[in-house]
Amino acid sequence: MSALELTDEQRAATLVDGELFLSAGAGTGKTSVVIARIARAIAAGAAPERVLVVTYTEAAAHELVDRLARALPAASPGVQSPGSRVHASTIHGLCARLLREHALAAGLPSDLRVLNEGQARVLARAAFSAAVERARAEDPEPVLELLTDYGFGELRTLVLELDRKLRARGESTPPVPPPARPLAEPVAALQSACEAMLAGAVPSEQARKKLERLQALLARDPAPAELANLRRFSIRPLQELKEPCKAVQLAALEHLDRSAHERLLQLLPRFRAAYQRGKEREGALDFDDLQERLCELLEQDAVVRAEVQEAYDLVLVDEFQDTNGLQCRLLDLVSAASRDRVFVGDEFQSIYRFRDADVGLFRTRRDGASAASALTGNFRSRPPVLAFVNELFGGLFDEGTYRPLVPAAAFPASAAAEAVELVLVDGRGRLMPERREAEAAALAARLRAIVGEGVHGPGDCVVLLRSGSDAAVYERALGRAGLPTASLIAQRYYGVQAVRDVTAYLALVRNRFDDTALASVLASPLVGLSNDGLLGLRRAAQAALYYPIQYDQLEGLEDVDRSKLRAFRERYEAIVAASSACGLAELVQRVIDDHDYDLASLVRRDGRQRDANLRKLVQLADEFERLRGADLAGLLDSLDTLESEAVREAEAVTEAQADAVRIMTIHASKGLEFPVVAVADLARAPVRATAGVAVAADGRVGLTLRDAHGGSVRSPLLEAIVDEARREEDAERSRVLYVALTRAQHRLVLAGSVPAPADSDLAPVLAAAGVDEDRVRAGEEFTCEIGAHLLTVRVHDCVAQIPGEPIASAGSTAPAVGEQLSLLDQPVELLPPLSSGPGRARHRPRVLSFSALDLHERCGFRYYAERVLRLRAAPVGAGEGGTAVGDAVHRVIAGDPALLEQLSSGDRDRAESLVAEWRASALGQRVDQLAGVRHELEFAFLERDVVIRGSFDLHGSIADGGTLIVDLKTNRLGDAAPSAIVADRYRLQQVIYALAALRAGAPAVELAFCFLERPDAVVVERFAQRDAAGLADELRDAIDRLLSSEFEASPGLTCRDCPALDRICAGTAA
Amino acid sequence: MPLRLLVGPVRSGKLGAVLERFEQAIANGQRPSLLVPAASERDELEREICERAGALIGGEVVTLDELARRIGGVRRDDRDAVRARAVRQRVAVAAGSRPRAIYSALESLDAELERGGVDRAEIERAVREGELDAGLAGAYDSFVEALAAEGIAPAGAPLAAATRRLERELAAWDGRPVIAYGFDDLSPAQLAFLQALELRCELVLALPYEPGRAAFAALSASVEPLLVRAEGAIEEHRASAAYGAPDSLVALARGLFSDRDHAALGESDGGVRLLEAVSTDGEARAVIGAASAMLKRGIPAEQIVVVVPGSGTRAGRLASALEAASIPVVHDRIEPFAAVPFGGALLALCRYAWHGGDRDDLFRWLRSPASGLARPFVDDCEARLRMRGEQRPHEILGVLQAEPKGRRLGDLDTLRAAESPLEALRVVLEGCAPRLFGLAAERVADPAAHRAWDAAIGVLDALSMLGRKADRDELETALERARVRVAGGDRSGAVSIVELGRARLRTMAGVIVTGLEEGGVPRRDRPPALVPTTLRQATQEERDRFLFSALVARTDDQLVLVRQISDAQGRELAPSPFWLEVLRVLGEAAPAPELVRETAHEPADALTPRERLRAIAGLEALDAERFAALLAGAGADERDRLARARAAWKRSTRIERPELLARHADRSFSATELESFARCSARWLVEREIRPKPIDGGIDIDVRQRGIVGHDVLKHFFKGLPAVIGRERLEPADLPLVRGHLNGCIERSIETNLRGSDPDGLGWVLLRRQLERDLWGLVERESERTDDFDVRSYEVSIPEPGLDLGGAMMKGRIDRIDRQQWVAHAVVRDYKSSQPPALGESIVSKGFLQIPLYIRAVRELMGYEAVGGVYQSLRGGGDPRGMLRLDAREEGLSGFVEHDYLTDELFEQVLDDAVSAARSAAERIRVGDVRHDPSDGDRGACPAWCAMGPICRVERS
Ligand code: SF4
Repeated sequence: MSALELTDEQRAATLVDGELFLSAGAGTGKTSVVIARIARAIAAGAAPERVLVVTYTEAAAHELVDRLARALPAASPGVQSPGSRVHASTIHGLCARLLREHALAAGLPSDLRVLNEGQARVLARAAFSAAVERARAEDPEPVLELLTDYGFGELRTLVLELDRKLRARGESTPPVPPPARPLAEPVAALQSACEAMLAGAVPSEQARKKLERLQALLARDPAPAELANLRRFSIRPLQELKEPCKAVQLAALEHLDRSAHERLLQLLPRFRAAYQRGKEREGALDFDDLQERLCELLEQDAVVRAEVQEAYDLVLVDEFQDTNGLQCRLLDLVSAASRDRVFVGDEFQSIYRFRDADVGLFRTRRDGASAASALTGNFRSRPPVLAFVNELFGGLFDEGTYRPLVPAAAFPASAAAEAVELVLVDGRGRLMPERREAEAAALAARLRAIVGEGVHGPGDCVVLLRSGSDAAVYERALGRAGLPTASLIAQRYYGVQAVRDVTAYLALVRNRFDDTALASVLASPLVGLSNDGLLGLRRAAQAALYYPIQYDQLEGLEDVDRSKLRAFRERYEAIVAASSACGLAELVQRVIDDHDYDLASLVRRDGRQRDANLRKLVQLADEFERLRGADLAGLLDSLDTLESEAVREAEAVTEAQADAVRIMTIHASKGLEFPVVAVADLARAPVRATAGVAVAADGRVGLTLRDAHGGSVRSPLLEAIVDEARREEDAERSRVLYVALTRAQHRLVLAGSVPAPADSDLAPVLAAAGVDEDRVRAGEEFTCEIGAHLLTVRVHDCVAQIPGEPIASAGSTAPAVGEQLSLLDQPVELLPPLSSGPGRARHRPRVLSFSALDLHERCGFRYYAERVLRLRAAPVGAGEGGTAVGDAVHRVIAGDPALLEQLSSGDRDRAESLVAEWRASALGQRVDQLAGVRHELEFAFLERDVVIRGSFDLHGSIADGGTLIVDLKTNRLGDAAPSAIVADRYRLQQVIYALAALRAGAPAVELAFCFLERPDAVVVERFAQRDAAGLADELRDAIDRLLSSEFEASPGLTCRDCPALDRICAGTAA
Repeated sequence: MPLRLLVGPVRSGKLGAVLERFEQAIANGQRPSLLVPAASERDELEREICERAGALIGGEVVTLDELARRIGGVRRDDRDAVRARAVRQRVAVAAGSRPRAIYSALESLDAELERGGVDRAEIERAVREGELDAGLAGAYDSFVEALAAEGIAPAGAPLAAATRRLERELAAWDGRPVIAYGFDDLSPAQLAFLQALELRCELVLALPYEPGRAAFAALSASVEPLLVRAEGAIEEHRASAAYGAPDSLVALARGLFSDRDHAALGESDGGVRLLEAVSTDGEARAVIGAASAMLKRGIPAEQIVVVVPGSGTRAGRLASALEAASIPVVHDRIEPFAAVPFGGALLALCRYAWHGGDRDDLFRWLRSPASGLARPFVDDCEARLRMRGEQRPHEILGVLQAEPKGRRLGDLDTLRAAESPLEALRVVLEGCAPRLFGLAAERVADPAAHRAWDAAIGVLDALSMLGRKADRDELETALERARVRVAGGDRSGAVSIVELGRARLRTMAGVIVTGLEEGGVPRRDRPPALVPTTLRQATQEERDRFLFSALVARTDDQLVLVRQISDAQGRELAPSPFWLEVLRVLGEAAPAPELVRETAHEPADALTPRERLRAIAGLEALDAERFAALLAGAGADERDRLARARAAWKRSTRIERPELLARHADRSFSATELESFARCSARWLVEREIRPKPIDGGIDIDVRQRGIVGHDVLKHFFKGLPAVIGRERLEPADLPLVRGHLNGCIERSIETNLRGSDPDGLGWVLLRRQLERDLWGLVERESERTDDFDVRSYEVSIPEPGLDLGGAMMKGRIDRIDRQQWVAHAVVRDYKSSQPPALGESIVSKGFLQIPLYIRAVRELMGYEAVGGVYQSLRGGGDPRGMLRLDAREEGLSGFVEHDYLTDELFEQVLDDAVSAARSAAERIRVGDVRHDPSDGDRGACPAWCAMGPICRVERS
């Protein structure tokens, strides 16, 4: 169906003006409705920029814009289509955009940065450490108590989690529990119970002893922590003590709970302040901040609120069932003044509780909406798939709420084959891991068979899992069945071997004495040292493992290991040396390249994936560097945090994954569809996470507490919250299953093993299919009726063997080739020595002047200091007299006496007398007579691809088209003869001036150097065009000397006012 | 004097006309000025004129800024920018609660003023009339005032001053003719300047413009009024029908963003190539491939330009990729000070010295060549501090200064001690200059360090000119905000990388344009700055349309357009409208887009030798026959490298060298060691043989250290107990008496185990408190015991010759043996750092060998009937777990967990199993039989807590 061809129910939905609440079942074409609604608005005159669409994921926003762009083509060539000018983004994207636009009002910098999950985690961890340090310095006891109870790492997890949960609820501080009940009463009751039992017939000697011990404990006025866990006294013969013990424990826990709250509430604000400081330092906000800050801004600033609210005519919110309270408030604020608002969602697809989504909001809104409609015509799935979905979820979801999906698409005749099937493993008496292996094998065989039918390729198939933790089992089984796989499970990246190997190398670049990093690097394919080699190295090392490598004390090792270590050292030391000047991405790339780690990765069967992961690491290093600079320790810290906190990051995507069976979590599959969907691991029972902290609906916090011996005990409130959460979790489990099953277009394969735990997904699936799990036997194959359709059930033995032969083994090596390759299995050759480090970057000026060339001729190092390093003279003590007089004299002669005023009286006298001498001189008079003399005339010409720039003091025309150039010198002459000085110091200047004039076309040049102290002793040289080639040679030589210069120092007179002197050069002593 | 306009599209001969006029004016002795927007354009034109005329004498090529400053009498001082930033920062801080926002807003205002995008008077009016945010308006006023007090010209001032002077003073300009070229979009301020100049001289303005064509829409706002003003003096240049470029390029130059019809083209003529790249890596390969193909075509490298959309990271990435492919490249860039390694290191030093920065900050400086310290020395110091978990600045310094070379931390002392942070930093910079750039240092090896050093000196010079001297914070902030211009290398013989807006004036033979995907070109509009949007002249899209079409028109030989078809996450990217526009104009003649993958899978597709080798390596697992065939044709070096790559995975886990195994031949083994080997021999090898010492202590003291201290405390506690309570057996009533004794033991034990660490370090403080709590729990439990085993011995050595396991002897020490008073029954105890799991029958299969082996040893070598043994957690609280004889329960062996009692038969069976497991472990150690064989994880999988994977090289999913 094209975007704008709609069914009646869809069209009706697009025609509603004002507010519409649209319940769109899975596969019912809600995106088409959204596009049509937008098209209608634009056709009615709305500017595309005045349409706002909020999606749940970036990918959904992109897809929408893409489809809009195709549906609404551009009006003129090369102009963006109106569709791509619609504002479509996630709620976080919307917040970031609006905050940037109103940065000043929000009190934020306009180049505001948004931290991703990993970056925020790194900052938060650092903030926690800072908060602990500060608390220790200011009021140590409470924080030390907490740290003693929980340990540093666990307390950090607890505080970060508590902060996150409170923020998601829009709360800042949880209420402190009311004062605990006094312990005395229950303790007294327990004491009496003990006494009564001791007075009676105690069942055994051991029971008596226990009773006495308990009595002793109660007698010594124990602290609440000592009474929080009395389990050790409740042995079977002492049943009557159970209740009084419980009462004491409860009261003790109340005391502990309150004091833990008090301490945490001291630490929490410190953490928040430190985290805030960290974010401010980086000019960044985290995801929660985005929402909080925008809400705050819109609620408090009427001008901004009006501006934002007036910006949109039409606001559409997709996946509304997955919003939380704060987001809902925000969306209301943004869309309050919009003429049209459309909320789209499906309560049965609300699966983001873990991100604090609240499906209750959806229900309340829908029930109160002025216009609500529903889409039930499903275009995605074949009728048998829909029949099973309706059968299963009609029973699972609350009665009356579920609207069955109605087939709305026509499928080709070839689609008559089997559509829904159940692959079961008879796992009775087996452990779950074994059952899972067997189920994966059976499923892989089934998918291979489906691919073998020729209708669907591997790329049409997806295996959906509720949890990614056992994805590798399915990946292996599919691989063994000869099916290419692409795992899109986003959780492993920082833990994969390639990433860890290179990270270890970086840790070693940071510090060579990091033994763990060194051992990892040596054992890895970066070096490939044998275990013998590692052990030999340890024997050779008195202390750190690097010492024997550094000092080449490797006698006790095999030749091959020794040469590997030497080659490693050579590369490693070069990388360390380069690391002080290169960026992080470059460093990572160099580690990979210099050790051919990419080659080692690529020779593997999964080489492309490994290689893509390496390339992704280079990119991540680059991203880090852009934020924090080339901070290696920071990068390592960040990678370590991301790894240890198990931050999810998908492995790199490789191109090879296009025609592979994809493996993904059900959550990741939301919004997607696939021809063949296998929902696997259905017998997995839910893992109930043991929350250390939980926040109740009323904002109260349940905590894990510590008894006197460090044991963990849950507070009663935590128990209650966890129970409630469990109920909601169970409801969401059904919705997750619904999402999974409704991804299928043509075929749905459900896989699991029996017996099915009661709370697993398999139990309701079996019930819907009418299969009695007690009756199924391995080897059976039968069908069940689902309405007018059939469902096939295949039952397998619990063996991890894949039935039948693989289609083809892509990685198999024929024996004959194996023989050909045997030459590669010879002992490894020595690595060739590397050439020495990077070559020097050459100095290539584009422009030069006489003074630059002259400076280089006088002292290469001074040239380097002044022109390459641009070392300026130290700010104090620079004598300016000489040059100032010269400048003033030149300006006065050019007709501008202003500079004279700025000289000291002595300098002014000297300048005035020099000017007078010039005016009185023969040359001065001659120049006066010339017509068209120009002062300070700039020139430029090219030589050796360098522009030579300068300016003539005086330039005039003389007879026969010749040129007179006069250079005025204010040097103090002393005894030296002007001609000698010119020959010694100014030959290059003569060359340049003459060449400039000749190149400009003068047939001849008369070049006069006039020393104003003796204006009559003018040094005159004449040049004609025939001299040009020789002059050019002279200039070229000087340029070449400079271009190939090693910038050697030539100490001497030049050192006098050199800015390098005594700073980077010892001058005459150098 | 009248304004004369030269208008026409790019490639209509305007430049030739401009140069002719310029040269004519020189010949007339008028000393004309050729006015261009920026320095790079000045250099380009100057070169061009020198090439045309041999030399340039009697005329100048000058930038607008230079000319405006000359006329307006406003000197140029690079330090002004730094000072203005410092002033802005002071004003923002003084403004109150949102300094970053105010700073950033003032900065964007200044940027708009500098760009000429808005008039200062307009802003002042907005301030007056309350149109700006009140806080910002106030800050703006203070900022302008503070700048005046410092004698700094505000943004846009030179141009404004020059305009004013031209308008008021005849002498402002001596009447030399001015020819302006290269201004595509004149800002209002620039227009005003030119209008004023027009009063004083003959002004010729050359503008790229073609009325009515969409490509030039961005310019219409500034050009249309000029057309009116210059009426009668407009020289219109028509686009040349051909200029030597392939037809497809000419067609694009004429037809892009134009409604006019154009003649249909024939087949694709190679003038345009379209590359579709998979993600950023594919894009880099596309650029490398396109540039190499151009070089092969004979286009000189300096005639090739790679155009990137904006100032993001794309340019850097492409530059590195080209360099790696041995294509010389020039890429000038401006980096933040902190992004240059030297800058980052200097800032880290300041943080450490002034703001309580941490160890990593200090070591970032020490590791940099600027510190003058040798890396091994620095690594050694850092390793020691990290092992102690030392983070506190004061302690670090203490330790470092005690080192023999510690006195070389002079830079730090200088920064800390000096009264003037500014002068102190200058001393540090001067001090490190010889290390970085002195006669002995490598010259020009790290140009970025030179530039950063220079920028830092510039910052100091600028701040020292401020009326009130900068404090530490201001100094650091100024450094952080400093920008370092890094020249990108030798221009001759190099491909250049430039931003779209900067690829102007020059015609190029080969142009490679990247970013032709959504979000690339056209660039998105930035969020509106603070200036009223009505003042903004064109949208970014309009501007990019002009720039793109101008770029195409300046291409002489080949244009390569590159678009990414997917991003790094594999998400599809739509083509840019410009890409589609090119397809539209070329119609049938459009070349088929070529797909460029992220990496070459086929050796024949490889662009560089390295890629070829990578492609061959990739075939090893997929097509072994081709791999072998390709290998046969490869060079010796390639074969060696591939052989190494394959061999790198073929690591046997076994220990094979006789010299290494000899040590185990005759020795005895401890139960701990055998247990460790039985649990996972690979872990045994790493933990007990290779023994890599962890460098990072972390805050929590590690488990091993805790164990050592815990054992030590308990030994002393129980040994000293009779002296405190007068007997061996502890009763609940004794508890108040023994608390002090326990704490004393803890204190002593910690003291002996500190090994130089700081006792007040958080790790030790917590350990002390946790031991006080946990061991007290253990002592309480001890007092509550209900069994009859009262006589205790601690750390009992297993007598010689040890327990015979059948071919190997086991020796070692048992933590504790409890006996009954009058019977020879005994129970062994082993203290563990963590709570043991449920054991009993499964004790051996779960890899717990110590207790059964000790039971055997006690029984066979010490003459007691060991009726059980348990592991007891040093963490307190939990129940002891192990194996106990059921029949001894009634004889006083009571109070243990029910599950751990075994029948006599089972008890003996478990002991036998343990001995045979230990024997097998000993035998395997002797022959070096190390494998990945964890027995304490989940069904043979590695336990989640084992972190040895990177060293043992097990493949874990
Ligand atoms: S990672 Fe696995 S194989 Fe390696 S040492 Fe640990 S348990 Fe053994």
